[in-house]
Amino acid sequence: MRGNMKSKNISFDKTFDRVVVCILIIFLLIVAYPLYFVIIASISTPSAVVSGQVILLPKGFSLEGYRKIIEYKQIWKGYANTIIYVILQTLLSVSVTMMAGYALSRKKYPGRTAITVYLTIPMYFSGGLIPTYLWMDKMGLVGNPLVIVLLGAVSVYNVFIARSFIASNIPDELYEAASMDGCSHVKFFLSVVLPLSPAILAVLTLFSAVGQWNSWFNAMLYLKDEAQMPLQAVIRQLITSQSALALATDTGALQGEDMVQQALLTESIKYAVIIVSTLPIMCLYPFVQRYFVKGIMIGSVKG
Amino acid sequence: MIRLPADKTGKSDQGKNSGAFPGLKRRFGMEVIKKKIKANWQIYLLLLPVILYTLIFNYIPMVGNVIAFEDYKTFKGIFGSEWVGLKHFLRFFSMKKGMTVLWNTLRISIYQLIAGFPLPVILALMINSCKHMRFKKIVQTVTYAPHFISTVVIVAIINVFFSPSSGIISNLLNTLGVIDGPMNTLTSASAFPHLYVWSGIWQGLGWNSIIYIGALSGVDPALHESAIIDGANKLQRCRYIDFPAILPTIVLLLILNCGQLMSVGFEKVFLMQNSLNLSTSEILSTYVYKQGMQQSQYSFSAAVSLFNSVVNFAMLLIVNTIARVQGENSLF
Amino acid sequence: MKMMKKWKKLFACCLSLTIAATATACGGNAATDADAGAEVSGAEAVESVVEETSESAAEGTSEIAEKEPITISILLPQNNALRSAMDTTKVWDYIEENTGIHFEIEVLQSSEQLAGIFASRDYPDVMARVGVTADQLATAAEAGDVVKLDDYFDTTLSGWGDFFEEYPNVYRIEQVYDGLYSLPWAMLGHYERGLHTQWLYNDVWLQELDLEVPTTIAEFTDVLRAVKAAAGTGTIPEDVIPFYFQFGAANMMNVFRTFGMPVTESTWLYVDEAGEVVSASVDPKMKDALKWLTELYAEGLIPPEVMTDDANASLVKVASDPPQVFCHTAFSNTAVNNLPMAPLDPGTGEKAYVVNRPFTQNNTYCCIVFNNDSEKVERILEFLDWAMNDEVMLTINYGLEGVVWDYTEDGKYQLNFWEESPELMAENAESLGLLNSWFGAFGSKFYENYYYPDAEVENTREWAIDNIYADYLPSWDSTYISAQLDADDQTLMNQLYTDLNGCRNETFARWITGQGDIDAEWDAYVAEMEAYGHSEWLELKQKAYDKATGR
Repeated sequence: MRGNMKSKNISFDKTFDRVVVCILIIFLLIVAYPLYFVIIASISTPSAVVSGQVILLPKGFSLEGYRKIIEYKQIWKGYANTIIYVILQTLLSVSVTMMAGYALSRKKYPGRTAITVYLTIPMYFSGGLIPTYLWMDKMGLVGNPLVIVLLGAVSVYNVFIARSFIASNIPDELYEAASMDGCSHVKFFLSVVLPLSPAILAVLTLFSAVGQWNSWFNAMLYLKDEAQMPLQAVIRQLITSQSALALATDTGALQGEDMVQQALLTESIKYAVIIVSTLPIMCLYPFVQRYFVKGIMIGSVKG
Repeated sequence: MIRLPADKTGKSDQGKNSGAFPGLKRRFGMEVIKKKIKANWQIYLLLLPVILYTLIFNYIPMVGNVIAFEDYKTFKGIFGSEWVGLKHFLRFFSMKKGMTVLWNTLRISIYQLIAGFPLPVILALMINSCKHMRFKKIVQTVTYAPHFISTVVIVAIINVFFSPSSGIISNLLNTLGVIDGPMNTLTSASAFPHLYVWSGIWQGLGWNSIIYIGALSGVDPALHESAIIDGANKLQRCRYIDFPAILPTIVLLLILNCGQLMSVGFEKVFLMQNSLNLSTSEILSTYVYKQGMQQSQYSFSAAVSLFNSVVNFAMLLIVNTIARVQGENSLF
Repeated sequence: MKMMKKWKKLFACCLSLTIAATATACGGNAATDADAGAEVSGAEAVESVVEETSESAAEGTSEIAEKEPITISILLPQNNALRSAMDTTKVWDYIEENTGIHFEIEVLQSSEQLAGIFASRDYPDVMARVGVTADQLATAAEAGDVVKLDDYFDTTLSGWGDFFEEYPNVYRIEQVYDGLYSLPWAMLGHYERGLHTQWLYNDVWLQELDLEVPTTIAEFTDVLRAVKAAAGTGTIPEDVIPFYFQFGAANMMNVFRTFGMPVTESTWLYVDEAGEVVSASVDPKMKDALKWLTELYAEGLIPPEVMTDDANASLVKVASDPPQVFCHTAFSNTAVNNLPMAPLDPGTGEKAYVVNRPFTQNNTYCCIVFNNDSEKVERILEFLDWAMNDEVMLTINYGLEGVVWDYTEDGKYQLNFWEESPELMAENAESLGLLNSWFGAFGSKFYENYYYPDAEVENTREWAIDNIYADYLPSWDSTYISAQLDADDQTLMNQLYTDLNGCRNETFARWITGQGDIDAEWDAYVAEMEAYGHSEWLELKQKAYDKATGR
């Protein structure tokens, strides 16, 4: 009876696997083609891309876009700055988030709900551009690269995610058991929670690093020295000083021939810029995947 | 016996959670609370950084929202400008197209939530059930990549692919005989929400599933082993082991996403707009932007964003309450 | 257990690093100072180069050269594709050499940053054309943060005073609050008409088809049909676009102009002989233009992409090589094989026009001086007065003498190259001026001594103005110009126009793509525009026009 059911399950599982793989492959193709398109578009002439002639192979092969980007000196400085900002902010972000996430995942202490509400409100109510700017100005952060590291370092969203992860993987009972042996919260956090949470640490690192890598707005608002600009801000400067947005709203400072030249420049590097600016950060994910390993936590708790 | 850590804690969480602060106060009085605070002082120590950070970088600037009730002038300052009460809110509600625009915003975001929320969960479960390690890694890495494409380029790709006469999709459908002549996806008001939402799903699916994939890695493999012995097939294991394990995360994200109802990304909509789809593509943020673009109407935009925040926060409270009543893992 | 240790260590590391990093970053100011030091030595290096090059330029302008050196901060817009070194160009050294003013350059990063600067009132000494809004400037003026230039027209800024006396409209357009708080960028020469959109057609294809240059709308339509029919033959590509523009953009307005509505600006207005502002959006003449476009669309002579392409995509299509577009309207003649064509006779009895744009662009606020320091203000005003000199004006706007421009044999100025040759501009980026990114006043006196070599070269913009467009240029008086109204009016105007613009564009796009009947629905459309406040809006527009022209 049992054997029979098992073999039935095996054949069901096989079909199930096949269906899943098929769906994933279809999805993979849907996603992969536009990505492939970005690559071939980056080495084609802009007019061929715009008029829909680039489909499977690059047309009018040209590395002009890459050449223009690489010639732009500030790109490299931007890379260096971005890496520094990413590392600093990620360290800050992950440490603060994990501490808060752990603390909120514990249940038995007064003020927990109050603190949760206190943290939730800023997710919905922000100060707005001008008040925030004025406050940063007062704190001496305008023009100071520290502002890039500090602003947006702590996302309450991530704190809640960390809380949810820790709550489901490290039950209160575990702490109670440990506290019998005289283990304090800080010690428990450092010696049990952190080692048992590689997955959430990986996720938080990824979220924070990618977020900072892709961000440009704060830099373009608060930084004044070009030498401090992160990569994405440099790139935005290169391609969007006359973006479609600016042109559409008639605020562009250009007219005539310089507009045509700017459009040609933008179009020729639009796709290459994505490749140049995102390849490094994309390599972070395979690294992160390593920490999505099953069975570490519960296994090590038991052992 | 094997414990079901995720499931169990999920339940115990809500049970104790609901009785946190006010309940205690009534039952035990100040003495007990003081004792509890003392016993847990390290918890507060761990919370201190986030509380301080939030205070400095969120709460203090938040005071600036008073400019929504003023005619803010830069040289008079946030507290010195003329108080005008609800003037800007009334102007906002008296906008001729206000209702249409509000409805467009809601339609897009609700559609986005319904279509876009479950898919990352499904993708994560599918990837998780996959056995080939390499295939799994390829799927994860490739699907995560579109997240890095900037909005400007995403819209450019949409325009090239769906271009009425020269787009690859139009050509394909014409060859297959599905349509005859130019395709009007880009120029049709009814197609806009689909185009917007599904391109967003395309871009964000892989990225959004990361969090679930991470959560799934917390599932004890022993659970699966014993379930196999008990004769469960893969689908059943997915349903009864993996899904409950990530349910707290799903509920949490659902609550948080419901609180984003009024915030549809401005840039993508703005770039995708054209005269023929304007009747469905004009949303609150683009409309307000167009009205105020020549002036620095700080007060007016503060009023609009305050209105958005209030609606979003109200949504959050509603969904959170539902979750709590349903016995799910609520936010607070 | 081993693993736990590892994590503990890692976390401890993280924490200490974070703290260390915070500490270093707090000391960031020290680092900035060090940077400043490095900058100085860099500037010295440049100076030595300049000494050799700018000797000739210094002649006759030595009046304030003996002044003490002074450093003045200036906020510039970002570089663009044609002028890629505005922040480092040798023009700055030329200025320093002659006036002793060292301009310390900051580049604006975003319009939000500008909003922050105005909110915190932490201004630079001078702002170039960085996109300051009328509202921002008026508020700063009200606060007394900006230098009111009117006060100096009789003294330091007498040259500018004379200029505004000659061109009062330029003054009125630029004015905010209670006077003039910024200098304009105004080019008032015969050829500087901002011919934003000329008609250009592919001459090679026309010859291949053995056809004449069309002169009327009907002839033109036939030519477009012939081009489409010939797709894939000769040099005409399979996917040829017979006629191309971008719906709602400036280049679409040329169609309206050819149907007798000389609109010049983005809200589709022009002025009739009586000085009344006319809105082309509800002008009955518009019906004929729209019907014609509908016909073209139905026959596939304009592609559906006119509705969806963004500005960049459309510019790239037009400039593609080999060409894909037969006829389009554009600022300058960049496309391959293209020649200018006169506007077409609409056949409705209306006179066809090309564009004749305002003397100066509305509300651009190109040079704002802030009341930071009275000594600096004095020096800046002296500098602005010194710049009211043909040679200086040319250098600041176009670039260094001997590179960008030269004297002709009879003592006139002549440009050696400009936007027609992007390669030369890129090559000499470090010698170029700032053109419309800063101030400029090119009046009649300047043009007396200015020589246009291009006017004699066939098919250039200048040549086309004299030889093709001369009969089609509307009078300057029909050009809509506007002064800034008070904040409430301005807000109402924008609010109304958002709805009007949406309603008009939606309806026109629908008609052109063949949905609906223009004749049958026109009255309903006009009534709908009225419901959105068209008359009220037009009244405000008239008010702004009257204010600008001093009527």
